[in-house]
Amino acid sequence: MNNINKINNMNKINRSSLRKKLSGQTNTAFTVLICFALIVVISGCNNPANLQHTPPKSLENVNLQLKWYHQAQFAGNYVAVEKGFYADKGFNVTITQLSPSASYIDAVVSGKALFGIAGADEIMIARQKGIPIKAIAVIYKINPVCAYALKSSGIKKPQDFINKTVGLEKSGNVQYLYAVMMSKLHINRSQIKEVPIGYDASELINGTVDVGTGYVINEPQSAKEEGYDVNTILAAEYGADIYADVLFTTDTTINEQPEMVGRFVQATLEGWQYSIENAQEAVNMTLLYDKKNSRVHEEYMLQQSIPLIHTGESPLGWMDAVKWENGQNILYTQGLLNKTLDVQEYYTNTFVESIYPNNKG
Amino acid sequence: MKIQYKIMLFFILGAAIIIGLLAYFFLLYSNSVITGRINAQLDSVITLKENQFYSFMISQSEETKKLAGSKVITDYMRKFRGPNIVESSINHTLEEESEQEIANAINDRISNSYILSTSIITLDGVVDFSTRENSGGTIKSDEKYFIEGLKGGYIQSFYYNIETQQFSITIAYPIIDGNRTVLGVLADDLNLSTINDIMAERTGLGNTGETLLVNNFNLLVTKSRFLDDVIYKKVINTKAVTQCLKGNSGRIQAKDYRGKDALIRFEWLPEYNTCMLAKIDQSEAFLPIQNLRNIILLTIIGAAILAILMSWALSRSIVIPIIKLVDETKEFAKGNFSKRVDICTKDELQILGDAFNNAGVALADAKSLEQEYNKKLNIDIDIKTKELQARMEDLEKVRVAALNMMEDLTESNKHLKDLDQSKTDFLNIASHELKTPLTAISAYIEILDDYKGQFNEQQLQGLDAIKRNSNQLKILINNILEISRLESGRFEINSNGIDPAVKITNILNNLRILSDNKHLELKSELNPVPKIMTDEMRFEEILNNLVGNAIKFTDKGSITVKLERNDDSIIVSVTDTGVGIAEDKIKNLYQNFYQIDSSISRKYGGTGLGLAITKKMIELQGGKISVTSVFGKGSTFRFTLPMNPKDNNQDKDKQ
Repeated sequence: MNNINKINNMNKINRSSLRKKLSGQTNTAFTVLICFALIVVISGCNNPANLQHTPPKSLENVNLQLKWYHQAQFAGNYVAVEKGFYADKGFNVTITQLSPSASYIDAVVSGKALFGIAGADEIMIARQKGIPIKAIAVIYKINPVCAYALKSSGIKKPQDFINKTVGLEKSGNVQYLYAVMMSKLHINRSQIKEVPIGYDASELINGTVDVGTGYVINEPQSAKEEGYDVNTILAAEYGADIYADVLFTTDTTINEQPEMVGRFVQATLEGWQYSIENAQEAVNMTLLYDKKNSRVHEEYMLQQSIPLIHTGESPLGWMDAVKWENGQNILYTQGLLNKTLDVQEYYTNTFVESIYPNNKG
Repeated sequence: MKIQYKIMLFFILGAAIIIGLLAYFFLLYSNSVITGRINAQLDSVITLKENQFYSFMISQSEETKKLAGSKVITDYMRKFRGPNIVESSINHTLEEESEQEIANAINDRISNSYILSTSIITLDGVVDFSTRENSGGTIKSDEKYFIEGLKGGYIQSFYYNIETQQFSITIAYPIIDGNRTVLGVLADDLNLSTINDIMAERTGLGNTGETLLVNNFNLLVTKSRFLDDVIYKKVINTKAVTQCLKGNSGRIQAKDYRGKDALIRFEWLPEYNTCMLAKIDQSEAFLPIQNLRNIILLTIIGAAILAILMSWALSRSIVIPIIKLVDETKEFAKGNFSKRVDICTKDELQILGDAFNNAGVALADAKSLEQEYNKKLNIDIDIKTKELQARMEDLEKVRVAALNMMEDLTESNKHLKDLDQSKTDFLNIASHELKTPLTAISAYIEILDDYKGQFNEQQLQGLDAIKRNSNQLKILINNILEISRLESGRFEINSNGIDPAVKITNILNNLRILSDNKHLELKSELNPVPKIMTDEMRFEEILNNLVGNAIKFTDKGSITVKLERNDDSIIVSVTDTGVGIAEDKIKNLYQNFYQIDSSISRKYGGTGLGLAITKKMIELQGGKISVTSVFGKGSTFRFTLPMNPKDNNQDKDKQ
C-alpha cells in the first residue's frame, strides 16, 4: 500500500513540475511574443515620417520683415510657416509685408522685427553707413532685374535699345544694373532715350516706352496677362549680376543668439526647398497671405524665381565671397558705395555652412 | 501529462527544432546567395552605365576639343577676334565669310550630335557667336566654364543655365593659336537627354530597380522611376548619397529617397563631381526568399501535421494496451479475477498483458482456495458458537441461581440483623428492667448491712449470699447493658492520653489478690511505649476482662502481660498457662453469652459477655484482637490498639 502511495506522490511531483516547466515555457514564449509585438508596433509608430511634427513646447515669437508686399517672391517663408518648419525649430513667425511708412531695414535695426529680407546692395550701402546688419543667407543668387519689350517690337538684346525709349524704374537696383549692363556692352547711352516709369508694364503696353524694366519674376508676366507676348533681357546674362534678396539680421542678434539664428536659417531654407519640390503647394500657401494677386500670377512668379534661387551650383542659401566682391565692385564703380570693404563685413556664411557640413563651397 | 501528449510533444518539438534549424540555415544561405547575386547585378549595372556615361562625356569632350582646335575657328579668332585686333582693321567681308563658314560647320555638327548649342566666347567673356539665337552678345565672364575654360578643358556639370532656363552641362575648351596664346573659349551645351536615357535604361533592374545621378549638392539630376517631376528639384540626403558625396564608392542596405528599404550600390564620379547610384528595392530583391520562406512554412506545417499523425498513432499503440491493463487491474482490485486482456501488439506490452492474464488465473485459484478455507472456518465457527451459546445459557442459569441465592442471603442477613437488633433491644430493655429491681435490692442490702450486728450466723450467711448474688447479678446486668450498648451503637468513646504501662501495672496490682489466691504468678513484660490516645475506662475494662479470664481459667502456672510497640500501635498480649481453648471453639468465642460449654459457667462463673464486650471495645477504637491457644496448655490473647485512633464519633485531637 505504501509503495503505491509513494509512486502516486512521485507522479504528482513529476506532473506538477513538468506542468510548471511547460507553463513556465509557455509564459516565457508569451512574454517574448508580446514584447516582440510591442517593439514592432512602437517602431512602426516611430517611423521618420511620423516624427516630423513634434514641435517643442513653447514657441518663440519672431517677426520677419519683408521688403515688398506679400507675393510668391517670398514663397519659402510662407511655406516654412504653413508646413510647420518654423514651429519645429521653435519659432512662431509673423511675416510682415512692406509698410509704406517705415523702412524694412529700420524695422530690424530697431528690433521690431528679428529678421528681414533685403537686397544685398542695400545691405552693403547700409553697412557702409554704419548700420550694424549682416546677411545670413542668400535667397536670390541671380538678380531678377531685367529689361523687356513686346515681341512685336523685335527688340531682343540691349544693342537693340539704340534709338529707342527705355523706361527705368525709379528705385531698386534697376538703375545701376541697367547702367552696368550698358557699360559692359559698351553701348552709348546717349543714343537711348531713358525715362522713369512705374512698377508695372503699363507704360510699355501703352507705348510710352519701347523697353520696360523690372523684375523678371513680375513685370513681364503682367504684360502677358494683358495679352502681350514679351522678350525678356536678363541683366545677369550681360554681366550685371549681384545677389538680390538676402535674409539678414543685426550684429547683436548674430553674436548673442547664434544657435537661434542657425535654426531660423535652416527652417527658412527648408521652406524654400519644399517650394522647389512642391511648387503648387507653395503657391497655395502664398495665396493665404497675398490676397491681391491671382494664382496664375503667383505661379509665374514662383516658376521664374526658382531658377534664380536654385542654381545647382551651390546649396540653397550658400553665399560666395566672389559674388559679394563682384557685387561690391558694381556698386562702387556706380558710385553707390564710397569705398570697398572686406566683403566679410556684409555677410556671414557660417549658419548656412552648419546646415551643409559636407560642402565647403 | 498523458503519455500520448508527451510523445506528441516530443515528436513535434523534435520535428520543429530540426526543421527550424534546417530552415534557418537554408534561409541564411539563400539570403547570402541572393544578396551576392543582386550585388553582382548592381555592380555590373554601375560598371556598364559608368562606362556609358564616361564614354559619352569623354567623346563629347573630344568633340569640343576638336572643334576648339579646328583651323576654321582658330583662324577666325586669330584674325578677327584676337586680343590685339583693332575693330577698324577688320575686313568685314572676310569676317562674314569666316562667320558663315563657322556657322555651317557648327550647325551641321549640332544636327548630328548630342550638342544643344555651341558658343564662341571672346576673351572679355562676351558671346561672339552662338548657335542659340539670343546668346549672341550675352556676357559669360562670371560663368565658371568660361573662367576655367580659358585655362584648359573644363566641364561644368548640372548647373542651371539662365539663358536656356534649364539645367545644363557645358564643356568648354580654350581656343588657342599656334603661339599658345588663348584667344577665347569654345563652349558646348550638352543635350542631357542622352544622359537621362543612359540612366533611364532599366534592363536587369527588375520592377523596382533604377539608376540615378546626384550632383555634389545632393540634387537629383536624372529622372526618378517612381516620382514625377523631381528631376533638378529633389534634394536627396540618404545614407547612400551622403556616403557617396564624401568621395566613397560602395554598397549599402538602407532606405532610399522614397523611404523604402533598398539595396543601393553607389559610385563616386570624381571628374564630374557626381554620384551614380544603382538600386533595387529589398522587397523585390528578396522576393525569392519570401517565396522560399513561404514554401518552408508550408513544409513545416506539413511536417508538423505528419509529426502529429505519426506520434498520435505511436502513442495510441502504447496507451491503448496500457489502458486495457489498467482496466484489468481495477477489476482485480475489486476481486474479479476472471477479467482477461487481449493485447496483440507483438511487443513488450503483449508480454505484459499475458503476464497480467496469468496473474489473473493464479489469483482466481487462490481466491477459490481461500473461499474453501473460509467455508470450513465458518462451519467451525458455527459449532463453536453453538457451544458457546450453550455455555452461556448455563452460565445464565448459574447467574440466576446465584442471584436467587443472593436474595435469600440478603433476606436471611436482614433477618439475622433484625434478630440481632431485637436481641440487643431485648438485652437493653431486659437489663434496664432488671436493673431497677436490682437497685432496690442493693439499697435494701445496704440497709440490712447496717443491721449486720444483729444477725445470727445463718442470717449473716444469707446476707452474704444475697450480697454476692446481687453483685453478680449487677455485674451481669451491667455487662449485658454494656454489650447491648456497644452493639446498638449508643456509646461514647472518650480519648485521653494514657500511659499503657502504668495502667497495666495498676490493673495487675488490683488483680493480684485473685492470682495470689490461686497461687498463680502474675508477671508483666512492659516495653517502652509512648502514650496512647484511647478510652481510659474501657482500656481498664479490656485488661480486667482478659487478665481476669486468664486468672479464671488458669489453675496453675503464671499469667504474663506483655506490652510492646508496633509502629503506630501497641500490642498487648495476655498469656496464661490455663486450660486452653479447642480450635473449633475459637470461632464462637466472641459471641454473646458464649461459653465453651455450659459447664464453664458452672465452674468458672461469668456470663460469657466479657470477651464480646472486649472485642467490641477494641475494634471500635481501630484495634484487633486475636487468640492463640492449645487445649490443655494455655492461651494467649493478643490485641492491638492504634496510638492515635481515627474515630468517627468524636473529633478530638488532644495531642
